[in-house]
Amino acid sequence: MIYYLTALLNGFLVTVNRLTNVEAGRRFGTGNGALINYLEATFLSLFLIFATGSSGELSPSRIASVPLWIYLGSVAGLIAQILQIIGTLKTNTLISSILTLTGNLGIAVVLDHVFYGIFSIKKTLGIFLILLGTALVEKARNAR
Amino acid sequence: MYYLILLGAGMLQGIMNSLNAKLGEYFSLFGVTFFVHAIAMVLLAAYLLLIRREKLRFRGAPWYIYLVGVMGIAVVASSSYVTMHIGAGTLMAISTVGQLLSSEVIDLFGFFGMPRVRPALNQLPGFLFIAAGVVLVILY
Repeated sequence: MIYYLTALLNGFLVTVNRLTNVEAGRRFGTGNGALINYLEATFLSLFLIFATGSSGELSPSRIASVPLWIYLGSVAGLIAQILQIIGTLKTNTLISSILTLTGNLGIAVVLDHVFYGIFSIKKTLGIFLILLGTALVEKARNAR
Repeated sequence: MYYLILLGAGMLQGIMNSLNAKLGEYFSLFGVTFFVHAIAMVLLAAYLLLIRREKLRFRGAPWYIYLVGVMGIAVVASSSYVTMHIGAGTLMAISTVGQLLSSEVIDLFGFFGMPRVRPALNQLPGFLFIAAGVVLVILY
């Protein structure tokens, strides 16, 4: 249950983080607004690594032992952010939210099977219902 | 065309979550948040300084704006932690529910300077679908 509660908390954090990022972008410009997030998080993470006595994981040999493609998550995230801005400007927020969520959940189901061997028809149906419900809630929200 | 771009953006977000969780098999959670943010920081700083030739400026914002990095760490750490244990699909499904609920709370109380808006009855069918979906995701 702790994992589900953490996932729910993750959703709350994503919303607040998004609003704060938008405000940072408004104050500092889009690029600088995104950069302050990465800058702060990088140095704070570094501090926490040393504070928790895990500095050994920053050794060059340890870093080199990890396959290069595993480091590419943040590159994927950056490209996603750019594509989402382009797509949202040419469509609207509702279409943007639903399509990105569809792509996100679709690939997540595939990668869960590839990386962790997790697949369940009923779970996938549940994800589809959440997607459908989200579309209905967002549509009703936009109509208010 | 733009629909495909948005689908692609979503797929890349899913790939990001899965790769970040994979990174968690090699590093601690703070190690993961360090590499995820440091790589993006270097790429974005290079783009802003070398290509856009923008001046970096971070002064003059309300205090809570400067918490954005703390929240960034919390988001990446929590998503990597959850994905490692129950998978990216379940994380995204439940996290979406959290995003919808928090958006409703923010709208209801007008937090972050947003206009106050009450939840509407026509949102109920959507929330019922979501509730049914959450039950399936958690049980199976």
